[in-house]
Amino acid sequence: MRFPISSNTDIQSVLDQTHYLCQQHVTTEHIRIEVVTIVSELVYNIVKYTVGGVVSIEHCNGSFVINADDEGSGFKPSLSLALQEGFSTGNSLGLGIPSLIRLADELDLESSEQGTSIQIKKYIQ
Amino acid sequence: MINSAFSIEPYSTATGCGDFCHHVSLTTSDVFVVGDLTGHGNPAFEPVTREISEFCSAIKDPLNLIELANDCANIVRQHQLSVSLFIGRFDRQLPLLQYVSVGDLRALRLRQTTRKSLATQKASLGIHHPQQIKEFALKLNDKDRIVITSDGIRQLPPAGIEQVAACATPDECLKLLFSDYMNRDDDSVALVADYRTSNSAVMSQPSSPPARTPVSVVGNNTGASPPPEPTIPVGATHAVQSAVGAEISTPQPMSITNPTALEQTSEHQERYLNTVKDIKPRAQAWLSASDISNPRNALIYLFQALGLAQDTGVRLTSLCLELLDHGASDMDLFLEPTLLTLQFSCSKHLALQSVPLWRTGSLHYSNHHKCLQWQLTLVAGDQEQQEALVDLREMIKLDIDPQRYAQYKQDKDRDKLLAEQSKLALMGEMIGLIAHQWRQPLNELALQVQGVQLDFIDGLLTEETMNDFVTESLDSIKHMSQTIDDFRHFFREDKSVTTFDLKELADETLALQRSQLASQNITVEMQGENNQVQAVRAELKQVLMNLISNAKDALRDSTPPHVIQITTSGNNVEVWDSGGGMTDEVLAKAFEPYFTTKKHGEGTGLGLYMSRMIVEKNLRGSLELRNELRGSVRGLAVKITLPVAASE
Repeated sequence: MRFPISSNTDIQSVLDQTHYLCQQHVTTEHIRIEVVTIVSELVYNIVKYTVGGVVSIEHCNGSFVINADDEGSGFKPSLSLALQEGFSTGNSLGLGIPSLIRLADELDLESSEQGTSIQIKKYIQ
Repeated sequence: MINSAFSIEPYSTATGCGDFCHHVSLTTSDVFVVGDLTGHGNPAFEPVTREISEFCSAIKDPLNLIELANDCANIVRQHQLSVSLFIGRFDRQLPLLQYVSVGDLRALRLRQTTRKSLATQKASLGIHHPQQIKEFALKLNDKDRIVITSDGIRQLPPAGIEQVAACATPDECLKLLFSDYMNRDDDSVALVADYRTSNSAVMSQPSSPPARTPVSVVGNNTGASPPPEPTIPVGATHAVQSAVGAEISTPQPMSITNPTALEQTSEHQERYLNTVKDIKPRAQAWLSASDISNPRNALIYLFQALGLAQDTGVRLTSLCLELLDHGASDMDLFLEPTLLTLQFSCSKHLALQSVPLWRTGSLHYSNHHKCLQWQLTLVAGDQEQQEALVDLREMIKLDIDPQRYAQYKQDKDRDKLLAEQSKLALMGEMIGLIAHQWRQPLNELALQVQGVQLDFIDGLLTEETMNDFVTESLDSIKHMSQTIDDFRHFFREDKSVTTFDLKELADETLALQRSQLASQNITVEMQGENNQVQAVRAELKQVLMNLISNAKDALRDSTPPHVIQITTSGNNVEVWDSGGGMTDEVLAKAFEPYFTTKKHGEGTGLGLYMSRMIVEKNLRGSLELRNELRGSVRGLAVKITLPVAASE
């Protein structure tokens, strides 16, 4: 499932769809919470810091693969600072990139002044 | 923790070597700068590598890897050269490698024997500078091995990957890479870094960064040297946290206001000792991570039950698990009515690192016990909440989720209800038995009383007849009293395991029903030897009572002969009746609660169900039913097998 994100109004539908996907594929409550938290954090970051982006969620081989691509200008002033606990959370859920790293089973991030791409794999079995 | 080593092998001379590697140790991270200037054996490389070395020694926080790469590129560009560059930053708090990679350095992550090529930009810094330098990040797992090589080391074939993965240490890897995979026509550099989550999330560092020497220098970061005392600016970091802390629904603000709070020893040590000493008796629930099969679930349920916001619960759970992953040897959890305490056995180094991550609650560290203690004040719970916490403890112990626990409780409540119903039914039956046992002596007593009156009327009342009357009456009364005692003993709540003779117990149980059995012309045959067994006597007696009662009911409408055989053998006792047995359909359902074949009002359908429950759960034995032909008579045999006593 692929969700273009451009404004606050897109957030709820992405989270609803994520909940729905989780109900279909995830039996463990806390993993559901973690998946939704990951998606929520990614979506809020896109809405808050960039002009728009795309979040996609795929279920394959016992995992969720969550991709978030945005057209922002990368991490300002730097990714290293964003990795400090609490630094980049602003008015979002207060979790920040560090918690994404903790919640993810695998995480790959690519960022430049032309945008950021994050791929997260979350094992659900 | 990172265990790393790097080595450089020039093509010709040290001064003409264009490959370099630098390790920079910072407060929040360890940084490696690996480069390969285009070409080899060029004397012009020497000033460039020297300038880069000086540049690296000046690197400090806060880091911006893209800026670092641009600065390196500028140095190289000034000398009209170009460079392939990898700058990697291993975070000390997160399992993360953050990096910039431009050019043709090969960067691999080995996880067991699987390889992943790290992302790289196909360009060359300096002359063929990319339009945008990209920054990458990769989550690391325990035992991940990162290998960075220049083109002086050949690309590893699958067998080579396995060889490198099998090396025990980075040093071994380097030896293998340079002996088996080095090109002899170029400069070569290789960096091997092993990531470990055990002990500490923090990189151990060499006492001083290895000085770069161009010829076959091995920079070694083995982790053997003690890490320097961390200098985490607790107060400063907390100030950053406070800015966002207000968004989180926290029951209590962070109590660390003094940056050296965790560093003070005597006062906090004292406080810690007092607290722990007092905690356990007060705590409603206490658990140790080493006793829990799934600490993640336990923590998730706990924070849910305490009413913390979901994201806060997830964050705290992640933090606890990371502490356990990164060197905390154990976690103890104490739950009091208004206080939750988590206690980690860990180094002060790790404890200090965790300070900015808690955001809520209060923290103390005992130098003496090497324990970090985190406490969260809870809103005083009402009775309902107290019960919920007790439930929570049971749930965590059983390692089941809330849904399954709800089902478990429902089943448990149902079993309790069934047990009560069964007991009531049994009591009803007992009253029937007492009535039956009393009928005969009461009748005798009535006759004796009437006899005394007739003797008096007829003038036959002598001292002798009076004495006979008193003796016989007292016998009847004694018999009735004995009956009451028998039944009262039967119902007493003695749940202790004792050693007793199985055959004697069967005799006693039978005695309670003997007169009723006789009135139905049922012959009872006792067989077997006297055997000592260990069990809860009263419960086994209750089961036997049920089985004899069932056998008696089965014989009521059957054709003669009416026989009950009770056989004891070893740890077994078997009750067989000649009532014709059960059909397969009935046999399949016989243990279901409320299933009965008796007439309405005569059976509760709980007897066999409860009998099996008692035998299996309380006596740890088994109860089985089978149809059995004895002689030419078909009947039902019910066999109780008790576990063999430990001493036997």
